[in-house]
Amino acid sequence: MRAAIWGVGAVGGFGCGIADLASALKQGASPVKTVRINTIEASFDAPGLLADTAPLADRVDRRFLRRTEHLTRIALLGCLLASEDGRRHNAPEGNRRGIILGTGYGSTCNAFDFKGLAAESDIRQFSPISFSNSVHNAAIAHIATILKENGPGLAINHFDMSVPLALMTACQWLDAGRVDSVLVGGADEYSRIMACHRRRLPAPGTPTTDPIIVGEGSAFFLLTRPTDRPPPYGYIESATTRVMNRQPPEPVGDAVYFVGVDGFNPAADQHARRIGKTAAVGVYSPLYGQLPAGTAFDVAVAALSVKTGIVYPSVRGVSTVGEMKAAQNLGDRRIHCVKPGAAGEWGIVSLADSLTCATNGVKSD
Amino acid sequence: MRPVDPVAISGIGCICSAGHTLNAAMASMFRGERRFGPPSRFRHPLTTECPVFAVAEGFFVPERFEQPATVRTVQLALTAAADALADAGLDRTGLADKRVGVCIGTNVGGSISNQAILGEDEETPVPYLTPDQRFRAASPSLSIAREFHLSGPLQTIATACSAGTDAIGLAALWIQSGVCDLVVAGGMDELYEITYNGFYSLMNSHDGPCRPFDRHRKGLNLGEGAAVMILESADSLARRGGRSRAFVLGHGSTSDAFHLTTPSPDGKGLRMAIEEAIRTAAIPPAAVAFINAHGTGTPDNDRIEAHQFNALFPGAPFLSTKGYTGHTLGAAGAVEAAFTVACLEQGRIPASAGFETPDPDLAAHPVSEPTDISGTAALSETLAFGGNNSVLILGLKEMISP
Amino acid sequence: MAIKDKIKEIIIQELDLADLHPQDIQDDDLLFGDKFGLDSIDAVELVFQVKANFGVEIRNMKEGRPALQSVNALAAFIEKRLAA
Repeated sequence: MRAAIWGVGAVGGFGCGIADLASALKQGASPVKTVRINTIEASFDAPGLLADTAPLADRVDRRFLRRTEHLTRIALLGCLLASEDGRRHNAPEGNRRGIILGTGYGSTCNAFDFKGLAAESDIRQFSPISFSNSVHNAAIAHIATILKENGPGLAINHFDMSVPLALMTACQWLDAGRVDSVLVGGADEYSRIMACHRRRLPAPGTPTTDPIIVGEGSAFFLLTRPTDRPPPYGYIESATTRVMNRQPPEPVGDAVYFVGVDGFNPAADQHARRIGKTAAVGVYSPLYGQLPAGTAFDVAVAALSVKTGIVYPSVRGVSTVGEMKAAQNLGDRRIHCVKPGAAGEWGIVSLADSLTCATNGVKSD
Repeated sequence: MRPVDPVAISGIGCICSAGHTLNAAMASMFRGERRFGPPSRFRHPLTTECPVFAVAEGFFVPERFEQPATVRTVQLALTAAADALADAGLDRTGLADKRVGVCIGTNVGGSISNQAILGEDEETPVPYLTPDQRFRAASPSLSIAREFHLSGPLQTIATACSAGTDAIGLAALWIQSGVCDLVVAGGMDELYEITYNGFYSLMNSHDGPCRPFDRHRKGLNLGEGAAVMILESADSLARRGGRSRAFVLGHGSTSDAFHLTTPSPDGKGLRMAIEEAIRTAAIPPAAVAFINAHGTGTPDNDRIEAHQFNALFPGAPFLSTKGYTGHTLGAAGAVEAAFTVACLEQGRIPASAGFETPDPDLAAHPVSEPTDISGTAALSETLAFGGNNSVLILGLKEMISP
Repeated sequence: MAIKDKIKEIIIQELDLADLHPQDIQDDDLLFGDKFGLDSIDAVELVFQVKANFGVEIRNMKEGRPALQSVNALAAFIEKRLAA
């Protein structure tokens, strides 16, 4: 189960494209914007790491964007960027391309909000266009139509495990010969519910660590089966999820760990500190924010690290000896992107720069 | 796309308006019963009421389960999963030493919607749940894993009306690739205010009982239900001395890449998905004993399907079971796959309910009465919103002799 | 606002034809011809918008097809229903 990474596309609070992601990694920060939130209780401004989809205008005829909502546009831009990046690196041409979107909130994130937030939701559920765009595969349907891809299209909507699952399925499709290439990634839009929740914090007894700001965006990858040409971003060696309530994955050997600390799930902080006692740890979520599809950005950072041979300094202080305070050479180490899920699941996506990379990493089971 | 190894189905559980168990539903369909009524569990302001196919109350027996379940989709999921595991002869002890995944297609159960959570109202001190809380309360795959202490992977597929078909097809891949010994796979959805109102607003709903493939068809009726199949590796079956009830022989899925709500008029996407399923199953098209169509009763859908059936399987008997169950959305592909296996086992298919007057505009017509079939393989197929086509070939035997 | 102007505003806003101005839509232009690129889901959205904005229900597409032909036809349909 290995897939070659030929293209990476990312859009989010850090900007548009992997060059913007790389410069945010060097600066250690992304610009924070303001979102106006209206509820029946109050109106307030909330911070957000927002994705600007204006660059779509140069890429897609406006007629095709009609009736597309924000999530679709975020995901579409990620797909197009990954596809362009793949062409730049002469990705192998194949006949059949699949598209997989992993999304935690899906399209109903803001379409049909909870009662107190949007009074108009009662009426909006009768708008055929609003309803159609609330169906969870709407984004994939729009994207397949705009990209004219007849291959299999899949929407995985399994909260914060959606991205590891999407990558797992992509690798399996390639292995089984169902497709020759896959555009696979994660996307979520800004959650106003989470912004309200953030505002209520800190309640008594809640953790006092800095909450990471609610984010939105997408990161996509163009994957193929390994060929005789080395791909620019290395390989996804494995992607999987497991229910491990009592036994989080243990670090094994010399590897680098990107942990999906999002300021919300305390298990992530704990895990980063524990794993950091013996291994190198990086946390990059302040660049892209809190969103269930956030693992996609960690995988994008890992792909960049494999390409450049440099592991970027951790952006968020999680107080552990292994946390990378400065850039390191990757060497022949693997990178494991570890995401502790809100429901006791763990997602692990492992990248390596060559197929012969020394065997190390997390125990597979 | 190359042929794939068949994957054994060792247990099936199914619940829908036609019956609380697969056997009960099959018997009811062969009797020609159609159990629909006005929507009763949610308010709607529509002037024209469209019938729905609801699961009769009393289906959920809390004593069967360790954990409480308040979300109806989860209740449906747990019931179908428990029935499927029992059918496979498996209990928690038997599952403990296996790598067991859960792969579920759903719409309501996958959404972060407020209305799916019971007991949450304006008087609740916190007037909303955070998305992770909703996920924990409303996710069928998570609930099944918690109930039966499964190690995962857990996955929720949200490809609308083909989600159940896709979930079974992907679960088969988990067995073929060795990721799992066993997968609890299927789909479920409850009747739901937003889908009811949404389909009405799309003018896709029939204000009487739906009439798939009939000349006077006007649209679909919604239904609810769940079906779960236990997919199991040959190794796991051999070690525990289990039996295979049927096999997933092939799977195909494609995107129309045409339009959000209108299927591609030439049916090209559906044709490619059927061809992929046939190729992966490595069977001749003539080995398909019957087709369990998507057959929603909407004018476009039925015309495209009939055209492709006539082109690819001329003369093959086909039916839509949505006249008995309504369109159960995320559950549909799984419920219909369960029916397909049961029909193969019985050697007959029920009448295509709601079909009376042949439509001269359709290239082929469904069976109008219970019909004996010969053969051990059949095709179950779904066309989703957004142009997602997904097709399963199911069989009673691993090999089809040409 | 006159019914015809309101219809044009709805078409531009709710069908997401942002690069169009009200004066670009002639009262007798075919709404579902080549000019605007509208399709079946736009038609049902218009049905919804007519109900939401004018309180007039188009019950099915048999009724809807002639009524949605042009701004003129739709305005006439709405006026007739409101007068009834």
